[in-house]
Amino acid sequence: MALAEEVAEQLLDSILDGVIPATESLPAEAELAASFGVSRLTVREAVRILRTQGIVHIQRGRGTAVNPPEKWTSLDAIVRASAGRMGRGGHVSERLLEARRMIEVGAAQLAAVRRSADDLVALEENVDGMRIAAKEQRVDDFVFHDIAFHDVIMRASGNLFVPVLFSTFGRLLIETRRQTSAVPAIQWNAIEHHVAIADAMRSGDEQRASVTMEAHMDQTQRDLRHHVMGEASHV
Amino acid sequence: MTMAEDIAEDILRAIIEGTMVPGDSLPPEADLAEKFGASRMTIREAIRILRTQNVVHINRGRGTEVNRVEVWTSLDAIMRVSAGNSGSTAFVADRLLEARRMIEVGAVQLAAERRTEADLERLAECIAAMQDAAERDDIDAVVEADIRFHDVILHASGNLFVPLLFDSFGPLLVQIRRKTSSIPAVRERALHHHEAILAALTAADQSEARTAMERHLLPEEGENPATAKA
Repeated sequence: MALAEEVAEQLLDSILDGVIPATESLPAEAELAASFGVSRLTVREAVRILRTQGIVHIQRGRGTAVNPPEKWTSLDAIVRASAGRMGRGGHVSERLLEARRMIEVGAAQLAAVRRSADDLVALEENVDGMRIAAKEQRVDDFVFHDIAFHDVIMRASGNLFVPVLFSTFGRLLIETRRQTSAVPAIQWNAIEHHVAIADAMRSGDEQRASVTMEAHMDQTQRDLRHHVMGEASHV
Repeated sequence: MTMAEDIAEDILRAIIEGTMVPGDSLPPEADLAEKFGASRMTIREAIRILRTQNVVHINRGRGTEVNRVEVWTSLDAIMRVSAGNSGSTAFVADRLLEARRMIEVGAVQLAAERRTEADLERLAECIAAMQDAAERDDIDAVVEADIRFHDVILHASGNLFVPLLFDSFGPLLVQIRRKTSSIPAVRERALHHHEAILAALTAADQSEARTAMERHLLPEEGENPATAKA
């Protein structure tokens, strides 16, 4: 990888880790050059790369500012590029999954208590939808029912603000899902976990809902690392 | 409370509880009139109340639509939808706090693992500032130090998306934090809770950090932000 690309990737890593918060400015060119041990020209090129991806923008007189993720035009591409290697795409997917986990587990706990009979039916229907799509290898349908399953739980949480939390990165989640959903082994894993979650919802047991959702998130993370990013499995 | 205010509150409750969501259209006027046993004029008044809070808007051709939460006006205004009936406005604050708890408990768990020495120092500083402000009876400074403490934790989670979750609601979450923080009973215990959280983070104890944060953010008797003076 060219040097400038490497620097760009490391800068993005800092941003993903929240070291450089969104809407703040990158350190000055000279400072970055010094800390990466590269020329200012290389730094300028790295920043240009990030600019073309909508990750940063130049503010006249105020340096280079980080954009909020909604403006990262090629984040989809970055996420897609993670296939086969643990690179910048992988990092994004991991961080996304982490944030997603927080909300999904919380929502599942609330939904276990507040869910309606209609919600339970909807959960079953989507699991069936996933099974059929998996048998017929229709990835788009699979993704659709997978997302719909989680949406039912979000709504069943009985808290409007919970699905709103997802609007921060809902679009990005679709992309990461598409990656994992294309792999048959992952599809069947997911179906199994969804069945367990639906059972927990039916039981009305908060603790069980939390445990089954955590397990699903764990599985998704393992699948992402193993199947998509090509890390050796240590299961 | 007038009947229109009553109905506006019912509709708002349905939205907060997720029965109707942003993008959904409200049922037609005539249907609402029948459902609530009210005149169409009263229904129109109820909708007008919700429109002033930017909770709904008229979409020519599609009726009255529920707006995204980010464009709802101030929390106070939302709560004023059913002014005078603080028991039932509590559910707005309640639900917001619930969402807040979800984020902050998750964040503190990550922070327990990823926090730096600098983070711990900043947290200690916020506690000291809060203590100092409390002694001087400077409520604004207390609230500010409180919010700063929580912000440090959000960033210490080492995940870009976590602080951004707070932005997804527009001004509402910031306001609920301010309101909760200014309740005297809450302020009194906040310092103690913050110290417990810092201790757990220092020990890098994820489970303890979660418990401490949960305890901190569970509302107690008489701690309804709906009744707090802004």
